[in-house]
Amino acid sequence: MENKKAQLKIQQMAFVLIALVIFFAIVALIYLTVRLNTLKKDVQASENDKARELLRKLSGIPELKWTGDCDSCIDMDKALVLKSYNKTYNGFFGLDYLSFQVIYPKKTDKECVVGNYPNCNKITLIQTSNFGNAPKAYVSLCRWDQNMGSEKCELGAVYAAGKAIK
Amino acid sequence: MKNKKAFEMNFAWIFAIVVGAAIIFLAIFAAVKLIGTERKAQNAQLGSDFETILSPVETTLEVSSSFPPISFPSKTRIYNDCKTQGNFGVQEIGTSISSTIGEKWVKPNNPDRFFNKYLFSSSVIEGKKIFVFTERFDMPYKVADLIFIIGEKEKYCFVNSPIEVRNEITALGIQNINVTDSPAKCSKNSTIVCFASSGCDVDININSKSVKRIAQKTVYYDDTFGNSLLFGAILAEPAVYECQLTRLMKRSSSLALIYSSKSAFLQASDCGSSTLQALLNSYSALALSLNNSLDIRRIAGNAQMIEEENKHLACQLF
Repeated sequence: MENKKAQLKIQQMAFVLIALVIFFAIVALIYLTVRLNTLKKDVQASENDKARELLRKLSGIPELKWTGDCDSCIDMDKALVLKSYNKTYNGFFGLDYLSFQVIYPKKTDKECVVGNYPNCNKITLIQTSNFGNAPKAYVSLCRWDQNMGSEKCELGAVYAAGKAIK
Repeated sequence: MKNKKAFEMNFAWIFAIVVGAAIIFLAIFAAVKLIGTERKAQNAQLGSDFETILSPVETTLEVSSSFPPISFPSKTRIYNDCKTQGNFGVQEIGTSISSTIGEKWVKPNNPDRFFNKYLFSSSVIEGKKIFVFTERFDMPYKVADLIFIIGEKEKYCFVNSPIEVRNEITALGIQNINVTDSPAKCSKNSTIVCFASSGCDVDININSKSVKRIAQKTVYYDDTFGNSLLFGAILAEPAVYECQLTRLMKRSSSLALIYSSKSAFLQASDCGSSTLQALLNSYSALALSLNNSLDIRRIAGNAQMIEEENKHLACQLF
């Protein structure tokens, strides 16, 4: 009789201990999932911050910098040339998306290539398949105008998206 | 009859002790692992934040600029690793926060990688505060912004520096760089940088455009287009300087090709120059062939020819 009572106690304790282990494992799992999720969000936010910072400084990058003394001017001629160097510059900017769009004067909605330039409104330098949110900043898009025989600047916007975290 | 009474344990106790020990062991193991992961995450977060802080540390129209000191919540190490592989080389920046548990410093396995940043500093910078300033590097066009980082314990004393260097340092207002006219006036723990004499911690020969640190390799600079390389040679370790110079020349080479293509593209608007295109193409090949800093003066000579040619254009390339 006493032996059976002891066995029951052992079983009870074993169940409690197993329940404890399972409980702690579940708590640890939930903690890790939440932490990992937060970490992923933090990293993505950081990538977006970097993209925004890059937007602010894009006109200072030598590959896109306009010749004259203008700290918010992008050289569209250079941007067009840079398109043909996309293999060399692959990954250089650390972005998933980068494009320039002429806002004013209104132009035909067309991607610029050497054949239709400057009668187009968009130059896309980087475009990956699944880029996230691309914040924009207003800039002056400048180029050499053949008809005027001088530089010409138009109102434009630059869009950039940071690297997506998979 | 001897007393045979012994410490008796029933099965329930033995079972509880064994399982309890296992649980405690697992808990400690999990805690240690979690601390390690958290530490890595913290280092990565700091690295990312540091990168975001460094992004605005670039020039636009100005030639140089300094920024308020960057402070960290606790003692931090920044690892400056430069690699020359690929089209532009790589700047790797790792950060590590000091810890009282386990190893004091853990060098991150996955540092942040940049193709468009050039850090001139010691390979490891340590402290709660760092000083940052930037200088534009032109050759002959703008190639990049060089970022200089000085740790809070690093102090430099520039003795008899040329007037333009002195003016630049004064304008930047960097706390850890002192400008004076005699080594005797330098503080005890500072690195003495001599421009007109030798036997100091760092000797600069203005004629041969060389920088020699005690017991280290001599490196060469060129100041035709500014003093950024001179600062780089003084503040960075020779290996870091040579590596960054190679990366800068790779970037300069790519830019030369872009300018050459732009010139060819503008030729349709009667605005290109075939002479300039040829000069840019040969400059691109020359910049790419840099073996060590001794070659920089030859490359700068070519860059000067490009600058001269560009000046005569109606629509200048840069």
